[in-house]
Order: sequence, then structure tokens, then C-alpha cells
Amino acid sequence: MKYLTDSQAFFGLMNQLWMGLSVTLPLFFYTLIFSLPLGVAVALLRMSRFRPVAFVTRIYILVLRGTPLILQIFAIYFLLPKLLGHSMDRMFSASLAFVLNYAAYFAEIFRGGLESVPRGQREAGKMLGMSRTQVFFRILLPQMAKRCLLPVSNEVVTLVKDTALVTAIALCDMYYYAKRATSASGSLLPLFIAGALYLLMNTLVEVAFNRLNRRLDYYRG
Amino acid sequence: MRENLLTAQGLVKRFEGRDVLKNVSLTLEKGETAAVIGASGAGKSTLLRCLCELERVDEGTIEIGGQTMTNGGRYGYAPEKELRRIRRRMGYVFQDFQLFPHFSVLRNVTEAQRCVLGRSRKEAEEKARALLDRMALSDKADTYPCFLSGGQRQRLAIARMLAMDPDILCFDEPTSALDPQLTKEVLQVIRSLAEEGRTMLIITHEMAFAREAAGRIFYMADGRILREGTPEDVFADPRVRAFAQTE
Repeated sequence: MKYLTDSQAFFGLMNQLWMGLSVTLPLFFYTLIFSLPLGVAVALLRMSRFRPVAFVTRIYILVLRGTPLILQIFAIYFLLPKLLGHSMDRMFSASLAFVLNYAAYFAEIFRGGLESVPRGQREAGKMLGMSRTQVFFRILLPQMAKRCLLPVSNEVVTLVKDTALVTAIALCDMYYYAKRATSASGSLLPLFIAGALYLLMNTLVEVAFNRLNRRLDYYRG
Repeated sequence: MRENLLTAQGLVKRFEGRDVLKNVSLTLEKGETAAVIGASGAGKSTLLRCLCELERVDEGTIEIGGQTMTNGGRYGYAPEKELRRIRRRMGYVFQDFQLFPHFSVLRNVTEAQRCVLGRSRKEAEEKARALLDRMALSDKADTYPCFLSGGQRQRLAIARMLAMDPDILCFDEPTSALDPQLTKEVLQVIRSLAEEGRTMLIITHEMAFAREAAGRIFYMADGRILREGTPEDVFADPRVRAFAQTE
């Protein structure tokens, strides 16, 4: 119980968790920023009318959703350097694994969203003379975004917690420090404090998505 | 000599081995209003969708305003760029409106003007406001389609189409999702377009409307045009009369 009685130990721990955030937060934001657009691209490839492309994309999604993320992190961190012949930064490897993994999940959410926009919307754009690209970005994408918002929020909440997996390749994220402090002191308190901080982050995520959802509520359909 | 705006010959369309259009030919002259009537499943919508390249025919030729859409069925279609140019001459009003729900009423009418025709915001909005005014929707410009009644929605869809200055206006059962009162509103608008001398092709179940507003009627059954001509001629045909009584 030294963390409750010894303020120096407590602040020392908080300081470490704070340092851990400098890994956790960038990993979170990199993943979000890159996997969302990549997810849109993967969804489109998955829906390609050119069969081989759709098939390869389907395998990609199957493998990335069907194997543990922690394995994918290992694979990219340990195997990819062997193939490429040079070592890779831990943060880069971890981010890459997360982006590829989350893009697969987002792709399926987006595919569902795109398919749920009535076919007539595409036809209406086409009959107004819009190109396929214009129809996609002006008509389909905004409607898809609204339909996908809540399923995406699910993934983002999971992402906050999944960042803890990078401890496995010795990246010093928040969970890494909490676990280390628990091992050293025998007290579970550091892990619980870290848990509370993950909850805090996810509270912010939840608030953000609720706002976004309200902002998109100006129309129905 | 009157000018043919649309010429289609020998159209055949198959869905999963079933012939939906069986050798359909038709022409549309500039300035005429034609109505396509016939029972459900006769191929009316498929015909209209093929003429607008929302579906591709398996056989036949289609020419719009002297430009060739296809010169020989499925494999004779012009390249996409040219098809876009041809399609721009066609306006299309859907049975279920297909307004853009995420755009305001005004933007539904301005969007394509801006991104397809390259009109300035000011120009597009002026045109849109004039059209909304004509459709008695001017006070709705800033609201969203989901807050409009069915009749208002269909009038907005008509405004959105007219903003692109199409040469041929196509209506796919424009009133079948509306109740009788709203149907009257929308038919009134279509009638006024006919009186302006626009070229129109209308699929309708409103026999009284077809008889009175259309200069020419096509009666379709089982994937063929069985009868075409003036309303008097077509409605004198016993087959058409039998069909019209069931409507």
C-alpha cells in the first residue's frame, strides 16, 4: 500500500504513467489517422467487381481479423526486418501492425455502411452527370460516415485498450510502467490506476463520438 | 421534318436468362410528351432505365440527340466519358425521389450544377432559387429533404433535374409513391412542363393523365410495345381498354 501512504512513490508512479502516455497516445492517434482512410480503400477493393482484387482483399481481412493482434505485432516487429534486411523502429512496427489490423475492421464496417446506402443514390448522382468519383465523395461517403459512426466508436474504444499490447515488444507504454510498478511493489494499485486512466481516455472518446453523432443528426435517412 | 431526339432500335434486355425487353423500338421527337403505360412487369421501367444507361441492353442501338450511346448491344457502348456527356442530356425523376438526404433542399439543386457544369455558387443558387420558386418550395430552401412531404420531395427532385438543363425529361412512375392529393400537385407540375414544349418520356399508371397530357402513348405488355400512337388511337384498342379498366 505504499502508493497510498507514500506521496513520493505515488507521484513517481504517476510520472511514469505520464511517460507511458507518450507512447500510448501517439500510437492511438497514428492508428486512427491512417487506418480510417486505409479502411475506406480496403472496403472499396473488397467491393471491386474485378474478382481477383476482391478475393485478395477478402483474404487480407480474414487474416487480420482472424489472428490475434499481438501475433501480428510480433510478426511485423520480428519477421519483417528479416525479410527487409534491416531493423525497424519498435514504435513504427507497432503502429504499422495496428494500422493494418484496424483497417481490416474498419473496412468491413465501411463496406456495410456503403452497401446500406440505397442504390438509387448512386443512380441519382449518375443521372445528374456526376463522375463515379464525385458520386463517391459527395453522395456516398458522407452518408456512409453517418451510418458507420456508432460501429466505428466501438472500434475506437477497443483501440484505446488494445494499445496496451505493445508492452509485448517492450515498448514503454502506460501499461508497461503500471505492470512494472506492480511487479516491483507487489501492489495491484498501479494497474488499477492505469485502468482508471484508460477509462478516462475512453470517456473522452465517448463524449467526442456523442457530439459527432449529434452533429450528424440534422437529417434522417 | 421534326427532329428525333431519341432513337432506340431492337432493344433486348435479359435478366438472368429471362427476356424483359423483347425487341423494343421507339423514337421520341423534340418537344413531344410521350407516356408509357402497361401492367407491372411489362418492362416499362427497364426500358426507361436502359434509355438512360442505368441498365445496359443486351442487343439493339440507342441514339440520343445524334450521339450514339450503343451501336450494338452490350459491347457497343460508347466510352464512359462520352456516355457521361450523353447522359447529361437526360434528366431522370425516380419513383422514390432519391433526393440527397445529407444536403439541404437548396444544395440538392446546386450540387451537380457546380461540380458537373462548373457553375459558380452565385449562378447555381440563382438558378436553384428560381426553380424552387416555380416548384413552390422557396420557403424550404434551407431545410432538409426529410422534412418535406412526398409531393414536395418529388417537386424538389424535378427542380434538381431541371437545374441541369436536360433535353429529355424521364419520369419513372413519378406519382406512384404519393397519395391522390399529392399526385395532383406533381402531375400539375409535369403538365406545365409539357405545355412548355419540353421533350418528356413518362411512365405512369395515371390513365387520365396520360390520355390528356401526352401527345403519344406507348402501351407495353410482356416486354414489347404492343401499340403506339395518339391517345385516341391507343385507347381505342380493345387490349388497351381492357388494361386501362384494371388500373
